Amino acid sequence: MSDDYLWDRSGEPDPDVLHLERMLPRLRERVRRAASSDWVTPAPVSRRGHPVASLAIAAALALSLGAGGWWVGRTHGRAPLVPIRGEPAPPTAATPPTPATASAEPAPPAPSSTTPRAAPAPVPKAPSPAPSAEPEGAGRSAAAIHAVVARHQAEVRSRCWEPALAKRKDGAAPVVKLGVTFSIAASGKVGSVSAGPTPPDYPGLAACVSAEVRSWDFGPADGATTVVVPFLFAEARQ
Amino acid sequence: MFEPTVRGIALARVSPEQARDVLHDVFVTVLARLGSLRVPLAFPTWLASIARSRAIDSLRRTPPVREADESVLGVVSLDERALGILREIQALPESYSELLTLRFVEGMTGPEIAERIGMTEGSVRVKLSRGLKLLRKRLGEGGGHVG
Repeated sequence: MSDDYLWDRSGEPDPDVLHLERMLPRLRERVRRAASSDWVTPAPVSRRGHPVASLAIAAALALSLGAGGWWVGRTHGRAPLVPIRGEPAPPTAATPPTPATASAEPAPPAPSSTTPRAAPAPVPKAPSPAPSAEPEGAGRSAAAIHAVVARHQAEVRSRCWEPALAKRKDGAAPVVKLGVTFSIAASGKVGSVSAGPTPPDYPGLAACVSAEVRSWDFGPADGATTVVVPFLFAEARQ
Repeated sequence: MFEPTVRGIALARVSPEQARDVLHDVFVTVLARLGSLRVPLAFPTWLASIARSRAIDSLRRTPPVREADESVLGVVSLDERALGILREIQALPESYSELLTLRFVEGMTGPEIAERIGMTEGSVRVKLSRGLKLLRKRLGEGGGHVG
């Protein structure tokens, strides 16, 4: 295929180039909204029977409309992502948005971009995690933990994020990142939970997410595990 | 007018969060040193070199990624997916990553890139083409495709 389209957008469009042109300009907005202390860095956490083993699972919630592309990958620092497998679902395949306030009924698409809405969390199309992501000797796998987190995404969205959106302060940041650290006992019950930093514009969000996580059951395993889960919340945009 | 060039050059090397700081640093530096610029036509090249320098400085200040970060698993948004592609671009040789960032993040055409950073069109065209080929290879190694 000629590289004319890559060069000056003339000629036959290259599908890969089109895809990159669609995906990457969003990074400009990310630069604009970047805060100096933006992302939660998972701290090394201890795991019984091992000096240090850490595992972090990022759960991205409440994405914008058309955000059908979910995948599992490394997301921090300059670490390379696990290569993407599979395409995101097309926007039309995404579940219709739910209103910002908790509701059992799906709402029609928002009529304007000014209406805060939380898009649903589609079921992740998760490939098998990279072997390196598995904590050594862990009694429960990253995939198993990921599955439980994914199963509870909708609850966190409807019980915590949507009410927080409704009550947020004027001029609040549209994106909130919350790091949740919790321990999972061998029984599968969640022990201690801490969430932070508390987003000042969304009072109650951190406490709500902590309470939700505390109720989760990961099922029995060989030993206890401590994990860090960065949650990303964003209001949907039409 | 020059913000996209500086931002693109920064994003070829650092995270969006750092890029914002680099943007600020570059424009402060430019304002302070503008008087030393003897040839006005050399401004784009001069600006690009300052942007590269500041981005590299920012990169050097970045703490090394700890092992804990390497093992992060994530279910992430389109934003994060774009970040993932950006990191693959950043992993390419600089001569390619900068051009690909200007092309795909900033939306410039090849001729515009050549003009903004003071390269010949022929060189930009060849590097864009080779850079995309390398990017395809990197993104395809895990069984995925460019997106």
